[in-house]
Amino acid sequence: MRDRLSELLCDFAQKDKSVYVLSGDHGYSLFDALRKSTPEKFINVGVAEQAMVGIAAGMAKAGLRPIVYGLAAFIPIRVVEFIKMDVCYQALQVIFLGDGAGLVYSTLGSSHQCSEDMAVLQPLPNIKIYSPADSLELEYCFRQAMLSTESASYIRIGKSDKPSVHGNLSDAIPFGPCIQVTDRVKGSTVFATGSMVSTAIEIAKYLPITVISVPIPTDVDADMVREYSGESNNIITLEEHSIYGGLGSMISQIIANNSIPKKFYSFGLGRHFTHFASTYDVALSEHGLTVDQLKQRLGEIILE
Amino acid sequence: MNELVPWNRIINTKALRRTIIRMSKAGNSVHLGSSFSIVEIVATLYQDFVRLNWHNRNDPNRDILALSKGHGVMALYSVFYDLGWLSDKEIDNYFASTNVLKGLSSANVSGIEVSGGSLGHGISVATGIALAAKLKNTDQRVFAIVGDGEMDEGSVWESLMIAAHFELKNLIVIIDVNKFQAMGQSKPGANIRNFKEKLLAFNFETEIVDGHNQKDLALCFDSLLKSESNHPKAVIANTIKGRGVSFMENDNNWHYLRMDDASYSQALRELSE
Repeated sequence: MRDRLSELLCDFAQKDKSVYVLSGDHGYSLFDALRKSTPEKFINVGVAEQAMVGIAAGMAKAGLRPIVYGLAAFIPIRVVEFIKMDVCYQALQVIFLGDGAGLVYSTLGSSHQCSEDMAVLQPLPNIKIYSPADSLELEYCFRQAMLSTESASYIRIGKSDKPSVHGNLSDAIPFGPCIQVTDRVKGSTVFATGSMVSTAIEIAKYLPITVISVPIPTDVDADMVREYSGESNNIITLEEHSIYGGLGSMISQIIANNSIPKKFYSFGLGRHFTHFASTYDVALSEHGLTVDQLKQRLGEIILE
Repeated sequence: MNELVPWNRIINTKALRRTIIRMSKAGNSVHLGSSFSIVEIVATLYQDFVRLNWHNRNDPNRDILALSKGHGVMALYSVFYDLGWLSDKEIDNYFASTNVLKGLSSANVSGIEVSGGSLGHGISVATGIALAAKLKNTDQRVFAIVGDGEMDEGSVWESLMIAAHFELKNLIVIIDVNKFQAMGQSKPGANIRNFKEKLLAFNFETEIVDGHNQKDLALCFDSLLKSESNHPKAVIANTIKGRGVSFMENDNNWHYLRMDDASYSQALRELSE
């Protein structure tokens, strides 16, 4: 996913003279190609995330197209008020890239892990949240964000080396806020986003679930929930984000507000910090989100 | 017809203060002291230095005056009224149900460039506009007015450091040193001499000026704008909070006090020609 992101940044920086990429001293090899091909388009603002967001707003006001990169733990978490007042309040077209969302930085500890980025952005006007599951969804999200003329965009980038969920045939994918990624089966429907889509596909080998990938959580509406859940009795959400304020909250609200007669279960990060400094899988296990744990947890619901 | 020029006509600062008093009474609004300390600064800038297209307020090549200390917004409104951008109706119906003029600077009001209600934001956005001007190789000027209280915000110092690093020579930061912030006197370090040393250390070309003397302000802006250096510029304006009305000067209660009929009448009397 990072390779594709690097290509997209180079591509847009080269062909659109208004595009600039800003980083708060993060990104390392992600920007190697960009710094080589168009070094003048890469601006390392320094370790100053608040000012970076204000600066991006100023650049957007002046007609440029800034893309602001940071770790999700900092962009948007550290700077949410700057995003609200400097960018959203004027509906400026700034694209935020929040990398390492979820538990990616399992060894670095809670400062670099991020379970709350969608939760803080969801109530803000004039910003759309994207949460791609693989490089094809990332490209779709990125191009959608670049086309946006009315709002800012936040692209949540989680564990980036997970298996592709769509294969390589981008032309055949019916891109949209929801994409069905496994065959329809009788049973439960799982709405998953980001890293958890490939996890859900793996679980679908063992349990009767239909998996829907949700690359644009803020665009999901009641009609989509009804359509994609089909005849299922259970709607299950799965995300590497807190169960408070993320995909699960959004879909449960849609279900409740529209009296959709389905049972609802949400799976995601719990309200606790990770304890161990170890592998990504160990961090996931602290929140019950490994494939084995989820097979068990979902099985108890589905097979009851 | 698309020439970018300053207003180039005398703006009467007593009249500006009368407008502020009028608005404040109409809306029962606060922040009189914060507005009065920057009247001469904004008047001088619009009069002689902020180059605008007087037929199109949104001309993308216009100079920018960013009021980062949004609490002084009534000073901007008073100038806008003088320029004919605001009507008597809008001034006399401040905070009435259909009026969009807010009590803090809001970039969604025509003529206001940045939202300054939350402090430490306007200076960051102004730095971004100045950076864009440099990237686009234009001679656009960006003026940012920050308060000495606002200098407490970390994002101000982030912005100053970044502006110096990228050599944003067309950014002119004006610090309104009125020695007070909401809850009392500004910190001991927030004084004229200290700010000068700090700004010089941050690589700003820095001048100290009497913030109520329009002739000195004009000379100062003029010399900084003519400077050949690549440094961003800072003007440390020595001002008086509440300037212009005797009982408001240096009395920080007028950060949040509202006028009664007697204080309103007296203020207007003192500001008559």
